[in-house]
Amino acid sequence: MRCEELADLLLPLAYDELDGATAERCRRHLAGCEACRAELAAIEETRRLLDQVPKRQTQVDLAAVCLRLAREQRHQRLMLRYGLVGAAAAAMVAALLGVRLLSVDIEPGRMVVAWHEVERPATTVDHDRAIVGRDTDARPTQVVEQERGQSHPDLAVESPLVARARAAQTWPGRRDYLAVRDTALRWGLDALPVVTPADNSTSPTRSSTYSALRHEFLDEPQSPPDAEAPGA
Amino acid sequence: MDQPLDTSDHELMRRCRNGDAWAFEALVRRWQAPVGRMVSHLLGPAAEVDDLCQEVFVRILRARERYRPSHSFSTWLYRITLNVARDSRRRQERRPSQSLVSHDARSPAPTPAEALARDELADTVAAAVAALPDELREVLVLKHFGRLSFSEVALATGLPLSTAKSRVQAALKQLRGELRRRGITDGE
Repeated sequence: MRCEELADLLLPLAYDELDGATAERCRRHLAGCEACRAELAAIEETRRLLDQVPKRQTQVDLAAVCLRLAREQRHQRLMLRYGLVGAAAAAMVAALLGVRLLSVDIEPGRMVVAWHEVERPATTVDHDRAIVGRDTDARPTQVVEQERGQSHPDLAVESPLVARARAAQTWPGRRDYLAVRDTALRWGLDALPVVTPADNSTSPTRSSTYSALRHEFLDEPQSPPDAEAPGA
Repeated sequence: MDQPLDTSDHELMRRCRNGDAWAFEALVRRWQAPVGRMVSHLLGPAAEVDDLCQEVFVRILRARERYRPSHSFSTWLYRITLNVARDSRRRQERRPSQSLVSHDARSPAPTPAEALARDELADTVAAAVAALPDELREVLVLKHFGRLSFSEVALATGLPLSTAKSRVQAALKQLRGELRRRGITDGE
């Protein structure tokens, strides 16, 4: 093998991408050629220096990823269905569909619960879904879709009609609230994230909290605290 | 709920196509660090890495229906990462007041006499990578940090295989020169 031939193979050899026979031919040449050995050593030294570059830690905001996609898909669905143009029009259509775009300021220390009732156009309840945001470092990092009948440690199917989500964290900003809200919309939720009394508990009293939420956001009469609902 | 560690990327993508949110989360957790490093090396230390990583995974999710396991998942992922980096670079170039590269990359090389601590060495190498021309940096980053084969680098960049190889070679050679200029000689 001549040096010119090895020059084309030096890089694949350094990265271990040659077949056995070719690699062996290269090594035989290198055994007798100081110049080519020096070139290979330079490549390997540069690679070693590249390995010194520090590894950066990255944290992807999962909820934000879903949120962006949800907004795109929602916008596309509305545009396709109604042929309207513009975000303002989409918002108006959303309002006509009965999706309320509530704005709730989240205070630090408050829990956020998202829950949902689904009623299909055929007036039968097919399934219930819920969103829970598992938060670390005050940023939503996990989105879960829970279908009725499946078990999940963070969700409690409280009744045949409602699945309830629980989240324990602090979401200090409205942006994070909106992330959960829009993710809920993506998964077909009609109800919106609501805020429980601040207790930072991961297990709020189910029925009393649930009743308080419905009272606060659906104008339903608030029922007194009662026994825990089955299935919780 | 965690996916088993041995679940392949192809399988996770298949599940993701079927609406499995857990599978997507598993993919993100598995690949967010490599993607972050890739973005950082492609765009330099000044890049908004977290935001751009998020953009990568948005595109992954958006394109999940079109994913086909004909090549390695990493090749597809890094191709998307490269496109995100290129889009970011184009946006930056439209704002001439902001430099793509950390100012360290343009600063005079340290004298050979200066002692290089481990962190200084790492920063110097990172800055030297950032100082490479875009077309050389891209292939070098994909090859070295992305651990792609030469054929995968060619696929990810859309280059002929021979061009991909020659650019990696040129990148390494130019990087050696840049490091020498910065006072890092062979053997240090």
